[in-house]
Amino acid sequence: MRLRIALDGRDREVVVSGDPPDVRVAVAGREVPVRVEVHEASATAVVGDRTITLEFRGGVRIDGRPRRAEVTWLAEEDVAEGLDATVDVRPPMPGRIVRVLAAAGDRVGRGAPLVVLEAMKMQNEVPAPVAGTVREVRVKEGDVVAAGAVLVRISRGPA
Amino acid sequence: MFRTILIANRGEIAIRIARTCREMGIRAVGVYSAADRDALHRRHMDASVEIGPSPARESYLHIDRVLAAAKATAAQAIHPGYGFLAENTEFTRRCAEEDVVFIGPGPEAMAKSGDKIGSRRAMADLDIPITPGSGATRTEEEAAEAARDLTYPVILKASGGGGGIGMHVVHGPDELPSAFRLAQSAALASFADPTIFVEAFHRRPRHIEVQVFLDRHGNAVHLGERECSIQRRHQKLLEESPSPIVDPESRARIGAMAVRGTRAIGYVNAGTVEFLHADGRFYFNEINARLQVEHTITEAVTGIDLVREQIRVAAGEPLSVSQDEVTVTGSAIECRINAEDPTANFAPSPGIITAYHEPGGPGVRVDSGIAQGSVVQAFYDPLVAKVIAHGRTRSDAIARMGRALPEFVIEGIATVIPLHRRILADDRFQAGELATSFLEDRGLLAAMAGERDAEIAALAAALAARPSLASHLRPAIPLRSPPASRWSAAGRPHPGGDHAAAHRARRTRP
Repeated sequence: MRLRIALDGRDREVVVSGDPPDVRVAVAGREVPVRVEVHEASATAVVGDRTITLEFRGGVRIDGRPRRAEVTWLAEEDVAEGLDATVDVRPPMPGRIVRVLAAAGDRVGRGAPLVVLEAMKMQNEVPAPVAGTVREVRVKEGDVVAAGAVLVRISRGPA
Repeated sequence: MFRTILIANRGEIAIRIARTCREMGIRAVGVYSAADRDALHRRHMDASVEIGPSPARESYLHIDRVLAAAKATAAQAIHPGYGFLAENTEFTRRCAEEDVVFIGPGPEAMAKSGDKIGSRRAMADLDIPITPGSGATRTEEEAAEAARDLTYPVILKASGGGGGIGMHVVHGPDELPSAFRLAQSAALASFADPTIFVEAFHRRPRHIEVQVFLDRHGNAVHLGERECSIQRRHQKLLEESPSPIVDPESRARIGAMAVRGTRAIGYVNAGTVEFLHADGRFYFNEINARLQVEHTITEAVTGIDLVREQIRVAAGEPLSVSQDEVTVTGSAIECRINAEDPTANFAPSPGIITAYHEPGGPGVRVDSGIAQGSVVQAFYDPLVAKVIAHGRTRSDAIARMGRALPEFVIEGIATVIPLHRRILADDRFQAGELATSFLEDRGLLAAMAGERDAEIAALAAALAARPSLASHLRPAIPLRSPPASRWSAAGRPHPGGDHAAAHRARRTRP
């Protein structure tokens, strides 16, 4: 699986191979074994002599410290193959749903706007991170949502 | 005794000084720049005066404004803290002219301490060992000749000041010309004095310094030594007292040398005499004419409040202890907490402190200039806090600091705490095998640089195991404003205009 991860401004192309919990991660020209255990919204990874805890809720905390992280899946076949068929769409910050643009059953392309979220006095469209079919829309106009709440669930597939 | 003292500093040291003032019933007046209007240190003062815009040169370093604040608040004395005006001879002269007591040495002793070439000569005249070296070298040729006589490698140093500024190690004659030019321009910029001298270079020295105290009645004591070998680019990071290699006999010997040397230049109040320990011997390095950041570990092992002694001596009172009464008990370590990211080459890490909780428990002291909500800015020193752990033995102190550091919650900025934890866990550190090259020798700086990649590997592994977790991260497609919105209808500029363009640009990338 190939991804690009940007962590606090450091950009790396990463290749992950093997089956969890024991995977091999190639980063910055070195391959390291990583033992990873994932839970609903958190994970523990042993990298070398360091145990790193990750918490996910509208962002990621590494060892308790909030960090800026962005992920891009690099190979479409990696995205489609053997991954979760259903993707949850969450807002990166809390806000109020101003408009809902998608409904269950809609086929959407990657980047299609799903809802309009008002946060910090600005309106933002929350886009579909993958192409597929909308399975479920969990919010309606006027709802106030927390960062990390599930807004929409999408089944991966062609747009 | 003074009724009011003005503290010409900021952050943790201003608070530390104010605490002793208030214990002594002395009114503590603070100063602050525009950037520090909401700074924590203001809350510890009985009153505070705004003295200028954010840059240090226009506020904390501005002699006229600091003196005006002292006059306006009827302060009889000024405590300069460390850094800023603490070793500024001009400032001590102006204080004397304005009839305000400067809490520290007098102008002559301060000038002599600041003259690195002159103080070496003065110590040599007292038979205090100094590193072999030259006098002032005004040209590359003079420096090259001195270096030849001393034999390479040598180190170039500025005569006008210390703190590692302008210091260059030169391994051979071909490196010398450019090193000399760089050293000169650094010296000129920091000390307004381009004078350079050449010293023999000690490989793997240990930095061991002695705390001295002299009063106006002719009394003088030393308060033991501190080892400050853990440094990065000549900046101290972790300090301890006593030094693991100094036995009582050596302590008495270097203590006596330090007292003799400072007495000879007419020094009064608190001072530190720095030695380098190499090849089994101590060599005088320089005198620091100020209270040091790491004074805290001397306070821990001697039980003496150094700021209190400073104030008493400045007010004309005698020292409260004689040499026989000074004892060193247990072992203390200080970790400097800098707002720097050790995984990103120590890049400064300004930001807003979003969560903050200090460690505590027996034998743990925290001196901090920040709290929850504090804004850490790029204008000033990156030192935001210090943690001091005191134990009955050195290994107790190490265990205590290792226990306390993970308790320290500081969110919103990066700090050097992860590096400190690695230092404490290192077996050479635990064995007391230190040198000023420790961090490089043990590969700790390189290990820290690799930490970020380890975090990326952890994140990648977690996402590979459960890709839906990616939904929590900033989307690779940025949020954008909707094309038609209430904003345009109201005639205001479209807030998402740039966003939309950036979005379009991203979408067309392969």
